[in-house]
Amino acid sequence: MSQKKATYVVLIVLILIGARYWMQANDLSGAANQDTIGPGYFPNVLSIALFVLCGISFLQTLYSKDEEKIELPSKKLLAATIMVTVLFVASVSTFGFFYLQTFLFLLVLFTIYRFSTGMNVRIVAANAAMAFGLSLFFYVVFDLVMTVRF
Amino acid sequence: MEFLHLDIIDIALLIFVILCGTFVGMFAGSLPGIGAMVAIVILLPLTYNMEPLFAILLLLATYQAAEYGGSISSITLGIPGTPAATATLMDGTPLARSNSPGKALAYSLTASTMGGVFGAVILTTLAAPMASFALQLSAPEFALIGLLGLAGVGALSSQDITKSLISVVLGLMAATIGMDDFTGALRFTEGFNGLIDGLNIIAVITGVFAISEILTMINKNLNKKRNVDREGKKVRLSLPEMTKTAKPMGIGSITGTIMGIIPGIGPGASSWFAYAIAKKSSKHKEQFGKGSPEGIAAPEAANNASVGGALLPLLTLGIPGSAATAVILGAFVIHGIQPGPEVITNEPALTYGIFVGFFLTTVAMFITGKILTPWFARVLTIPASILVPVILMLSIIGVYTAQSSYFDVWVALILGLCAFFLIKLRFSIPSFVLAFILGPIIESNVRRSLIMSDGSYLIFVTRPYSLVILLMITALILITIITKLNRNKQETTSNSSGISS
Amino acid sequence: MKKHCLIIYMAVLLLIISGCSEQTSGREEEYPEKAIEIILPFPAGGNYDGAARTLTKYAEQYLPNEQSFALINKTGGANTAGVTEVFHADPDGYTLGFVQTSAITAEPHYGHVSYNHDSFQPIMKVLQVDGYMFVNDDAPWESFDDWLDYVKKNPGDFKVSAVPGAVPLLETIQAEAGIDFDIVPFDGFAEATTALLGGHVDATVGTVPGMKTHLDDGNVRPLFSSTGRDIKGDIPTLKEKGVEIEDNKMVGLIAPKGLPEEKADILDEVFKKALDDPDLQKEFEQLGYEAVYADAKEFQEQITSTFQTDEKILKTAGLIE
Repeated sequence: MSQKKATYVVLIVLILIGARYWMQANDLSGAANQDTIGPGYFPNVLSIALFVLCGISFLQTLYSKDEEKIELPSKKLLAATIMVTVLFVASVSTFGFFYLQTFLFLLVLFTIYRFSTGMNVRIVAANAAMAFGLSLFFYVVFDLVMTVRF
Repeated sequence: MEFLHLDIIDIALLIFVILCGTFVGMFAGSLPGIGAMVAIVILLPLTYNMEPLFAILLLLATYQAAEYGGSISSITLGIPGTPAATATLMDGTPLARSNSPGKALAYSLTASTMGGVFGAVILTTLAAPMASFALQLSAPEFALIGLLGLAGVGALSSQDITKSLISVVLGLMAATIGMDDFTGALRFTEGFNGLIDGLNIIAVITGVFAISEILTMINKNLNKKRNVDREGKKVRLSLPEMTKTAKPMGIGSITGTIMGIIPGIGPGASSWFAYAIAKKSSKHKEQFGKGSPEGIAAPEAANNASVGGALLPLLTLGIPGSAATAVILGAFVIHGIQPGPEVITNEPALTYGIFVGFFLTTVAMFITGKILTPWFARVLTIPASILVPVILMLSIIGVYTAQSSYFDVWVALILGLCAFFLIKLRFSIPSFVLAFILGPIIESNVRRSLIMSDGSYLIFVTRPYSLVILLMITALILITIITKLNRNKQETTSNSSGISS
Repeated sequence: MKKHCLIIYMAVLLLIISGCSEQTSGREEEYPEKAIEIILPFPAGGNYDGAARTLTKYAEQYLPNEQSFALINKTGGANTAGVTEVFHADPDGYTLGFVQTSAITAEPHYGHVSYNHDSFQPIMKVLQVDGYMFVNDDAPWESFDDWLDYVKKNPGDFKVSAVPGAVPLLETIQAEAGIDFDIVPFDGFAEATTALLGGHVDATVGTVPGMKTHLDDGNVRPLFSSTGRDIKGDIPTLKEKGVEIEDNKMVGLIAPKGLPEEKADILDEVFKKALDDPDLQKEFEQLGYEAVYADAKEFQEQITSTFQTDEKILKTAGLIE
């Protein structure tokens, strides 16, 4: 996608978010103390500022001669990372077993990131060892020392 | 000085205690999500059975070192270890990536030490007058200081000014989420209980800086070998390198100390202020954001100077200037010491002991940092394919740990993904974060001021200090406009001359 | 070769760790057989963190099987996140909460939490933290009556700084006493106090632990208290002065509903012994806390009655319908 097209998309999304924000701001009741401004005052000003600025940016994009493209050379890796991370957080927050899942998560990431370097027993073992060592480190620091419970 | 009554064993023990605190603090600070606060709370129970002086200095050493430790993960991993170390990331990460991780850490350590020493000097010499100055500031001044900071956003903006301004507005909008302190109304929480207290700062900064950076790293070649040469790992600074950063260090030290003294501003905002001022006054503005040593020195000096600053109202008024000092206040109280105007006259031995010991904490920080830095610098020689999973995991744990909340982890991931794309479209992430930090300071203090003045906006001009700040804001805006106009004039003249020839 | 050594080393470590945990679980059958987690709904170092850490330090000495407590700060949602966590936990006696009761007595009225005032098995009340209105020592109001007189004659002139949680109470005081003063909300207690010391507001509402240093220094003095119980000293309570309001801030231990009685008894005994420890009382006193014990039944009754008072307060303040 080109810079210009992407900017249009983002500006439209921002205006939509701003519209929702603005509507909610208008629903907020006034201040209990009549001397001061209510909880909706600042949000109101902000949403109007957002609309104005998005409008200006829209025009600037329209007249700009920028033909640059957005490059995503590692699309597959990016998508894979996001997917694995979302799965990991969702699974850990529902099922627990944090350190076991951490080990698996790290192992999967090491494997997909280092896949291009070729797979053999030594690399697989090294990946597993690193994932294990890190999980152990996290366990010692966070569970034993800091008493953080996941 | 009473301090000299300690015998040699006591002094050795004291130094040992300070070194322990320094080590724990530096380690905790370098872990994202764990800051000075958590380190101090963990050590607090150990201090119950110590002599008061030892107890206080252990905690102060931890506090001091944690403020430096935060920059270690900012520089080497690109994850801000503490909110106060976020500004360090701007130049620390680029400099470290461009083959000089050692230098980046060295600048940060030197600046932190300088800042710490400056804060200590102000604490020992100007405690009483500075404390009464801090008491005279209240809501109107805080609101204007926030606005002043926002006016300085220009210094952080990317090439596209409109998009930077949009980023600012988005940051301010994000800051309004949560329960309104004044009316109890829930604003923009969309029914999520996790948003009642607003977006968590750790989740926000980890998301927009660390997660987006991780995605950027994946987008590049992950298995490329990084060549950090011998020179790059060195952590020594030459004399010219030191003198080059003397000015930003001074700026950072002064800004940090003053912001530390004022309760309610916080070290996060003060390091950004220092960064913005250093950039505005630098001769090499164009290097900022690309690994400028000055851009590391200013915020790092500021966050350590704020330690001394925050101690000042604590010791002299019994008012904690930051969350971490609130815990230290607890330690004082447990040992039967009441910080306040009388503490210096009632407990001279302890007070002077703290002053001297506080200097020692900066020395301990410098030495410990010096020994450990080469090891930290090596982190960057690890290939990205190994580093990325580690950073990702640390970010997730860090965000979770801050509030034991998976909701925050989701917030960080979503914000990180958004930030990744917005950076590509030249939106300004630092502007967003600064606005997010300053937003509540501005909004709530404006509203507070109006209650205090029974609804009159005159409160902002009738109070001497707020008038001064107001004039500073006006001057800053005028200077920006004038320089803009001058530049435009020059451009048009050069353009027209180009056409005529 | 190095890597192999590392793997073996790790494996050995893991064996040792797992061996340790098996040993402890195999040796004893009685409760508790592992560390008991106590959820604190406030940040580390915040509000009642110090009290919780002091209490558990002493309670560990009396805990059977040489077990320990793990304190977990789970903040967020105006203190409700941590309480919700306790609500959803297994009632096996290994998850408790050390909470200020406002999260149970006030928050459910807003309707955004999943629990109610009777959703828990209380263990015991630990602290009663009374709220006071403080003024600077050199303030012109010498007594409650002086103050009431002034506020009546000068409506809207007197300014009180307060943390958001105290705002509904102040609104109710205005409504009940038929007076009008300005409430200036501050994010934190430290900021609210600073505004008072700097003379930017006329008074602040707060608790003794929060004000300890300034009270001992003689910078501030209390005008009246909003508590419902009789307090030591000659400070009047609102009730004594004919303003029908009481606000009981309590801190105590709770467990998820369904906790077996024998476990509840063990916990009650352990913490009661700790509270009776003179050393603990000395430490509490230094922090400004006052240990006020109430057993599970009594604690639940107080929670229920505070729940009803809070409903009245929130309605008067117009925050709920």
